[in-house]
Amino acid sequence: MNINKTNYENYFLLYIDKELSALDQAAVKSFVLENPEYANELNSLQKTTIRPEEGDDKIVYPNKALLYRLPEMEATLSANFKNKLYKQPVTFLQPNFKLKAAVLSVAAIFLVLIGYRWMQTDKTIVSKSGLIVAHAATLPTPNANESASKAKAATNKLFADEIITDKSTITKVINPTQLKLINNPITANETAIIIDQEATPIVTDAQQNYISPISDKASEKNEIPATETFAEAQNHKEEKGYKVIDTDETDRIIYIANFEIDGAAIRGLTRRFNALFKRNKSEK
Amino acid sequence: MKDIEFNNCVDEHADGLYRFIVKNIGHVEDAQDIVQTAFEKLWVNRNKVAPLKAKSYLFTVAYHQMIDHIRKEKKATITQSYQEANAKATYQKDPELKQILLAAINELNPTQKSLVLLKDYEGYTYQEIGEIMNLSESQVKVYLHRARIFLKEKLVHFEKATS
Repeated sequence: MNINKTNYENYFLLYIDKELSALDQAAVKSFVLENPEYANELNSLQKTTIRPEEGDDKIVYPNKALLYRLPEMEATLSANFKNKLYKQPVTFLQPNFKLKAAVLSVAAIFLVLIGYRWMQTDKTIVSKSGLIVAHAATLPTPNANESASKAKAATNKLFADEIITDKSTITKVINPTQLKLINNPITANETAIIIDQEATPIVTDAQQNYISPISDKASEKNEIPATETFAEAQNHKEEKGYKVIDTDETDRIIYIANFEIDGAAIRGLTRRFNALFKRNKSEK
Repeated sequence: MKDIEFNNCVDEHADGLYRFIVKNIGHVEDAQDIVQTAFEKLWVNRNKVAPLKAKSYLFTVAYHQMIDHIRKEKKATITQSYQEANAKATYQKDPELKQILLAAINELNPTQKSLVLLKDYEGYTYQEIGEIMNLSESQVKVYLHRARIFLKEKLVHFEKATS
C-alpha cells in the first residue's frame, strides 16, 4: 500500500468508512503523522460521519407486537369445511327409460282399474237406491225377501246392461199373481207404480211392452191423481213465486247492504224534492 | 425460518430498520408501514431466507419500499419538524455543526443519503450495502465518497464562515 499526495483522499474515505484492514489503517495514521498538513483533511472527513447517539435510541418501532407471529395465527380451516363452503356441482340422474316405461305402464293400469271400479260403484249406488225403495215399500215380510231379491236381480240387469233380454224375469218382478201368493200386504199395482216412478225410461218401455195390463190399471187409478197433484203443486209454486208486492205499504223497509232505511221517510223526502223542483220550474 | 427465529428478527432489527427509514423519509406513519411491509414479506418468504441473511433482506425490502414511497410522494427531504426534534435530541455537544450536517445530508439525493445512513448507523460494508441497494461494490464506494466530499465541503464552508 502506497499512500501519496494523489491518492490520500481515497484512503482517507476508506479509513473513515472502516473499509481498510488494520495494516492499512496503520499506514494511513503514519501518513498523517508524517504529513500533518493532511490531518485537518482527515478530521473534516471524519466529521461527515453520523454516529448513533443517545437520541437515536428513543427512535423505536412503536407497535412491535403487531409484527410478531404466533402459532395461533397459523390456524386454518379444515379442508372438509372449506369444501362444504364451495358450491358443489349438481349430479343429474340419468333417466332409465325401461324403468320409466314400466312405472308408467303400471300407473296406467292402476288408473284404468280405479276408473272401472269407480264406474261400477257409481251404478250400483243407483240401483241400490231403487231397490231400497222397492224393498221398503213392497216386501216387509221374510217370504217377500225372495221375491225382492229376484226383483233386485231383474232391476240390476235392467240398469246395468240397459238391454232387456229375458221377459220372464220382468214378469217375476211385477207379476201380481206371484205377489199375491206371498201374502204381500201392499197390492201389486202399487209396486208396479213405485217401480214405474223410480225407474228409468227403459223400465217404462219394458212395462209398456210386457206388462201393459197392469200399467193400464195403474194409469187408470193412480196416474191421474198423480198428475193432478203435480199440477196443483206447480200452481202453488207459481203463486208463491209471483206474489204481488204492495208498494203502498207505509211501513216498508229498504235494505241497502247492512243499512236499514225506512221506506216511508224516503218516500216523504222524494215527494218533497219533487215538489221543490216543480216549484222551481214553475217560477222559471 | 421458524416462528421463534422470525420473532427474534423482529426484536433485533425492527428498531434499526425503523430508524433507518424514519431518518430517510422523515415521516413516522409511512416508516411504520414500510417496516411492517418488510416483515410481512420476510414472513411470506421465510422458507427462502436464512436467519443470518434476514437483516440484509429486511433492509433491502425496506429500502426499495422507501424508494417507491419517495417517488410516489416526492418527499425526498426530511420534514422540518423531524429535523428540529432530531437535532435537539441527538447533537447537544455541537448543535450548530450537527444541524449543518443534517441539513447537508438532506440535500443529498436519496441514494447517497441511504448510503450514508446504512454505513454510519447500521455499519454495513460496501458489499452489504450493494446487496441491499442493488448496486455494485464500486458503485457504492464511488457514490458514498461523493457524498462524503459534499458533506465535508458544506462543513468546511460553515466553519470558514463562522471563523
